[in-house]
Amino acid sequence: MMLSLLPLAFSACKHDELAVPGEKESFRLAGDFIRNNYDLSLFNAAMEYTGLAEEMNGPGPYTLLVPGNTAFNELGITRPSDFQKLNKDSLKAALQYHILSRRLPSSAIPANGVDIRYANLANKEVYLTYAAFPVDYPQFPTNHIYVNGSFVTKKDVVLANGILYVLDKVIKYNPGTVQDWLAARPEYSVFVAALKQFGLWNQLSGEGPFTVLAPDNEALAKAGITMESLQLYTPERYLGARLFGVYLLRKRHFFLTDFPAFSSMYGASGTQAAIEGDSYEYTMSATKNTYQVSPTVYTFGYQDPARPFLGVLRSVTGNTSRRNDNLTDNGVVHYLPGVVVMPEEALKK
Amino acid sequence: MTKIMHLLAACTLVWSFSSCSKVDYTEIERPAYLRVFNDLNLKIGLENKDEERPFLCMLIDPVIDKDGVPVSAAIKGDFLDQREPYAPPYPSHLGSSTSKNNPEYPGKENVLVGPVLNGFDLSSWAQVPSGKHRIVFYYRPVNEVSFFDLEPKVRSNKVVDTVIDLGVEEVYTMHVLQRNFITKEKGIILRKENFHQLPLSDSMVYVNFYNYSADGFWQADKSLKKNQFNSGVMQYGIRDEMNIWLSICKPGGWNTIPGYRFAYLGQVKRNTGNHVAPYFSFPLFANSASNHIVTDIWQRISLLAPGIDPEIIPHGDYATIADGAYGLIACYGNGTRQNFERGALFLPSMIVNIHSGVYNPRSFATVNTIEVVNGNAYLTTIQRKYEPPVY
Repeated sequence: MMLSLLPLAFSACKHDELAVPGEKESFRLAGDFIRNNYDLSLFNAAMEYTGLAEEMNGPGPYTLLVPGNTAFNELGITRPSDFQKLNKDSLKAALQYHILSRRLPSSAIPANGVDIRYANLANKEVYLTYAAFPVDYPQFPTNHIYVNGSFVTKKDVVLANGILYVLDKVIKYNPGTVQDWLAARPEYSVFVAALKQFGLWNQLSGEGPFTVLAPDNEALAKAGITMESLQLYTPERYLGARLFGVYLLRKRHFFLTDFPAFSSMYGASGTQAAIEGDSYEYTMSATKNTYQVSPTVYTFGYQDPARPFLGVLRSVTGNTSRRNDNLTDNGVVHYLPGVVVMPEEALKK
Repeated sequence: MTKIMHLLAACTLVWSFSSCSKVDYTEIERPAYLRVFNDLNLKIGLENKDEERPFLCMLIDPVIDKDGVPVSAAIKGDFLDQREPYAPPYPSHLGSSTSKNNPEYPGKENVLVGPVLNGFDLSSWAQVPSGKHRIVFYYRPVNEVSFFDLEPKVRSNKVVDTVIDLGVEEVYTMHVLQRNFITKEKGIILRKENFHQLPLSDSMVYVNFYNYSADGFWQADKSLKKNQFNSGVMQYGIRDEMNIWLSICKPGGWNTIPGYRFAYLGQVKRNTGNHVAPYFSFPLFANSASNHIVTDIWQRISLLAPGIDPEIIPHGDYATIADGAYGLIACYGNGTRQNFERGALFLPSMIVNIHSGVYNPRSFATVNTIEVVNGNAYLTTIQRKYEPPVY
């Protein structure tokens, strides 16, 4: 009886079809992962429209900085079909801007590094800031990552062919200079005309970097500055460096998220410096609620260093996320929803 | 019995072979002694976010490939962070650290260090081969990746690239610093120390002063400088020429010892040259009431612009802005900030109190260097070899 069962016991030990899961098979490829993620469906639609989806299932390695659906919604893109209205090539370049040609886990990013540049598939470089810990309190890490003014809401999603981060905001890169960017947008036509009138315009095509806080026509109209009334503000009577030069920060390239990043690392969330060619100073600060992932709120104002007790004389606060952090080849442009220096404050005495 | 004999014979054989093993000691022929500090205590802020963070790697005699990227070096001092306020006589405090960041070279590096030279313990100095060497300092990202394992792209950002000539058995202190506050030019200082060649008494405490601030630092607007509240009145820098006044005080306040209230020592001039400043001294047991074994006096150093009488200083001792005319350094205890001297920059006492022989503690005279760099001051203490404790 026992002897007859013995062969049975041996045969039962045989497992021809035993499949040991491969090390990488428990992770998906980037293209598949994004296709299967509801919050990334708009990015997936854009990838499929431009033909990048197939490439993202390739060997890689890639690091994908993927804006979530909310990030596209703020730009007015709510359905996959909305991408059909866009130019396929420029959309593809914009998507490639979000993909780095390497595997970059957050552990490989230098702690407290500011504007670390990583090459992307668009042959450009993203500016990555890693606010890892306050320098005075390294025992309380923050580990916030910012890329070109966008905040990373989800870090280190492991993929079979790379790694994925989720952004709260689409990275807006525009080839060309700050001058090209402003000239191409009719909503800033009065601001552009004013800069030309005071001889401040030509420098914007030159070597930067610049940070431009651009009030649009509507904002200028609230202070009584329109295309018609601009004739009244002549360089003979008004200080152009103060009236309109205040919005041009030279040798600075500030993404709005630089302010919360420096605040968490070094404790200072603002900056102030002399307005070029003027005796006044500009002040700028910004905060971001990283728990609720609300848009970065920034405040821009001016003060008179000769009258320090008056503090900031006027400031404007903006948080229109979709219109801020426009990166160009020689600077960054943010939308300013108001006027900081009123014309009568820039009268020559 | 024979078995035991065989076993013993075998053991002897094994033992005799093992005892023949040759030990190769690492040795440097004709060494020089080198200690390196990173003095780049720059402001890091939004205004200058494009500037490199002063976190360095030092390479001596690097091998550079065709792309200009260093691939190896004879000597590497990696993770060279901004220096700490106190450079102690022995690198003992580094043993308890868990960070790779090195406040000085050799510091935490496992290298051959200097011997006891004319009584002075040089264990904080590394042995390096004497002669001419190319020395390059590179910026490196702040992480824990060893320099040569970094990507080639981030390995070629130089701070200083120069050639130094080191003499045999000479003692050198090297500083990487900012030479000009406006142009941001960086440079090095290679100081050939002479304390081991001077007839210094072991009952006197010696100190010399350097001002290695960048040109134009104290004149610059304070918005361009970082707030260093721990530096007290001198946080925005001191002037290029300052008088040094020494007071020696009893602990717990600032009651001076007779004869040591604002004793004039000399002048310190801002200079980023390689010269050695003269040493000033005061007796170890300046307090006549001390038992000549241990003393707890502390040193209060007033740096004042020429023409200002230390008894009638127009600037308060609190953290006011003195326009560079006043700096106050308190060398007290282990350097912990004390409430009675709010405008002072606190450093450890120049007198080392430590268990030695049967005395616990016993006071030792030292040779000190105070370096003022851009509104901050650093103390380096050199101690003689002393008797080990008897328990």
